Amino acid sequence: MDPKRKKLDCMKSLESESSDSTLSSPFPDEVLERVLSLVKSNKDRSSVSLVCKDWYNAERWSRTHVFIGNCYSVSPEIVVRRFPKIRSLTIKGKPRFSDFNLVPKNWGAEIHPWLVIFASAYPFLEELRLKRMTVTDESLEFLAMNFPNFNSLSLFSCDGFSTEGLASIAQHCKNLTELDIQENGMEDLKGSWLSCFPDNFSSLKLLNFASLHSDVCFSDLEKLVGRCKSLKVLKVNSHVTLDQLKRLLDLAPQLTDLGTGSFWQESAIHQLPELESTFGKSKNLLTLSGLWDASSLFLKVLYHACCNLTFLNLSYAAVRGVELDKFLAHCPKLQRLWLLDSVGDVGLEAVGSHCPLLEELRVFPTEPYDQDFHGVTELGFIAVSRGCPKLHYVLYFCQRMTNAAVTTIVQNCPNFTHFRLCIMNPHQPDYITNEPMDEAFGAVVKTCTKLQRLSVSGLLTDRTFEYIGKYAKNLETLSVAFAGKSDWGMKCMLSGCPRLRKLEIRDCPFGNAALLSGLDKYESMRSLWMSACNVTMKACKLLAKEMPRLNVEVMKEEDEGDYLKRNESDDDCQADKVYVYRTVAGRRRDAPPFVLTL
Amino acid sequence: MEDDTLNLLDGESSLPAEKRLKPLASEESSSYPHESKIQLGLSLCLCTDDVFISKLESLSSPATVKDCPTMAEPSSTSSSSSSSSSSSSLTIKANLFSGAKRTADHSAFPRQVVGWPPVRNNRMNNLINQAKPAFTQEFDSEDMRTTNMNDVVDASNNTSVNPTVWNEQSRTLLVKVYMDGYPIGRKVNLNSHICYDTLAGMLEDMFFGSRKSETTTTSRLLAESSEFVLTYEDKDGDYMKVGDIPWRMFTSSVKRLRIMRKPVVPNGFGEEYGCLE
Repeated sequence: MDPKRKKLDCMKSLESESSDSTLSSPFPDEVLERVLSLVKSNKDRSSVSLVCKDWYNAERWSRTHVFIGNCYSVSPEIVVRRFPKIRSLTIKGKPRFSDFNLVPKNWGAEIHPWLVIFASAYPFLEELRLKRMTVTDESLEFLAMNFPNFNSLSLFSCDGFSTEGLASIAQHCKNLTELDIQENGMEDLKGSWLSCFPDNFSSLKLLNFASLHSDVCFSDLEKLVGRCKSLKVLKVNSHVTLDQLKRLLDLAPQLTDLGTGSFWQESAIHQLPELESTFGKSKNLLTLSGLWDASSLFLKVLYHACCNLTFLNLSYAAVRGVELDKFLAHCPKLQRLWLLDSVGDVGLEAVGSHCPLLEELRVFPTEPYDQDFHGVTELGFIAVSRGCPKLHYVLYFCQRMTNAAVTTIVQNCPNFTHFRLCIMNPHQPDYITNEPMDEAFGAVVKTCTKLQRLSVSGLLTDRTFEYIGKYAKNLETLSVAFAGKSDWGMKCMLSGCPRLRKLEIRDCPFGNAALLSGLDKYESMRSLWMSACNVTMKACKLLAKEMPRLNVEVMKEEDEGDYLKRNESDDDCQADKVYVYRTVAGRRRDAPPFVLTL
Repeated sequence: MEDDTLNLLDGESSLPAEKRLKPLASEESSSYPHESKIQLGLSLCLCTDDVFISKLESLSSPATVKDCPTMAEPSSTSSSSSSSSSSSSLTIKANLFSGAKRTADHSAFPRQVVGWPPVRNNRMNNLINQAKPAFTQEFDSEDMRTTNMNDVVDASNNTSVNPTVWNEQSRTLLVKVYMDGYPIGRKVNLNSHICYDTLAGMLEDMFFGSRKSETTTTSRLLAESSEFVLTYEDKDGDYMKVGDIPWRMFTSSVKRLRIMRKPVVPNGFGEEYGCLE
């Protein structure tokens, strides 16, 4: 990176020297493009494109990857016009709260119109990574048939397709190296999609179908794994049994990332030594996940496979603290760990004592709706912070927390970049002092200067947002739910936080004045989501009028399109769900009836 | 306007409306319509579980968080209207334990809202599958001899016909465990045990702190001399002492576990009364 920077700096100074002359650049375009093709980071490329017109052109001709954080911020025509040589795209669609059912179905974010344009503009497209987009089987078939060089597909949290679509990909993408299907709202038609890979197909390096619910034909899977010698990542779904897994591993000892199937099999109790020896051969494992229903009996077989493990995902296994303790003793190099709160504080103490290199911890709830069930408490979190000084990413679900605990935690780990704390009962105060949790998040933003992402919870007054606005200088993403006391809270967030890009708010007492206080800010952000707050149509209309380069969408539930139309002119009508985002594409043409773009 | 909203939403019987929380901290008059229906964000289990939904609706509006002196007794906010802040945790827990048997194996969170807590659907669905009470045709090699032959045939038939169903149903049997005086409840997977000893050992680890040394002596819980007795709630709602019936019968009828403190009888009791006479 540094040598490239030096090159760019020297070119910049040359540029300014010759700015008076009619020579636009001392280097021919081809050289400039060649140099710039080495610049990979999107941010750097954006900076490069702003230097001058020649650099803008050189950059656009040399770019091969585009990242589109909001599919409606730009149109496929615009993308294609600016970047003629794209081979890889990452596109994100729906607002993040769609993962929690807050965005009505059929809202949009369809990939198909993009694919149609790409078919003519980017026939050599190789890679597509989609997040929260609507992808139909038709689209998948179109993709498979129109892009002969296509080799890498990643679908995360998408919806609209079924196993039929996957079958098209398997059948027609001759050069496929990656097929990554994660956590999608897809329809599982129990097809034989996996059997659609041709018999001579062997280029697969990554296969992830862990989140599919139906089973695949095991013998076809076995044959596939057997002939794909470059396979490094294999994540199967829970229908694959332990003895089946053993057979797969025997065929693929070169795997670095393994997602097991079900890790409990009554009939495999007799095969523990064989399992252990198979796993013992997989010393290259860096990532381990799946492990559905793993119990201590079977976890033992993994002990010798974990010496180089950097990421362990146990969040689908209700493991106890004591079992976790024994397991982690074998994972000294762990950097990322995902758990269920069944491990309890005891388990987290074990994390603190066995994982000094830990950087990321996620603790998910076993009983999200049961207030009587305490998985982990503030004590577990403190224990981890004491033992893991490198911790910088945390997602923590708990039923109780205290201001003092959080203050201690951030003192132990001041390098947090992502702090997502979810106290599951809304409006819950510090359970010892009964005070709001303001001071906790105050401590987080004051101590963790590198904080990029924050999710707040618990009983919070506007004080929290004063702290956030004042201290969170690097904050880019902020999630707020059931918090705040008045418009002042939101105003603090919008007037502070210079780097804020994504703000999502639900069920807070912020109203029109709060929304409008960010008038000048929203164009510097990717998006704002506000639902179940106190915003009315009046403010939304005003915002839309004043800021033509923002799309202000007001949504109702899917079958309430008529209601929206009838009450469009009613300024006092509640705007239940508001989604504001900057765009150069104008208002979208595919909005369904229950979405009104003002 | 608000009336229109309510009419529209109430008329749509097929569409459960969002139930929103009134923010406690807000002084502003809430313009949220108080919908009577509750939309549960999970498409799988809860929306189709009539018993569960009627239980939810029968709960009176819960005590606010402010009424609760500490959150160490969470049961006082989530239990039914009959609970008062009784100092005895036993009484509160009795309220929870008695009463209608719920087909869904978790107590109602009276203030369930859409998309909260923020757990993705995929993960939610997985949790629901784990919590389903499994049919307990689970057996292990040691019990094979005592197993009813029919059971063996059934199980093996199941295995060959539909191995995935069998797997799914018997792999976890999660039951809740509470201990007197200890507000934090836990869950155990009975299918990961083959006898009472290992179960008791695990419970001790959970509630009395993990003991680093592997002990082979009879666990404290099962010992007569223990100040605690391990009990379970059976299919009929009665509390029975754990350990009296064969393990398999136990796993097929247990609903919940409870570690009770044995009532203390003062030593000189009989003598005192003797003196008075």
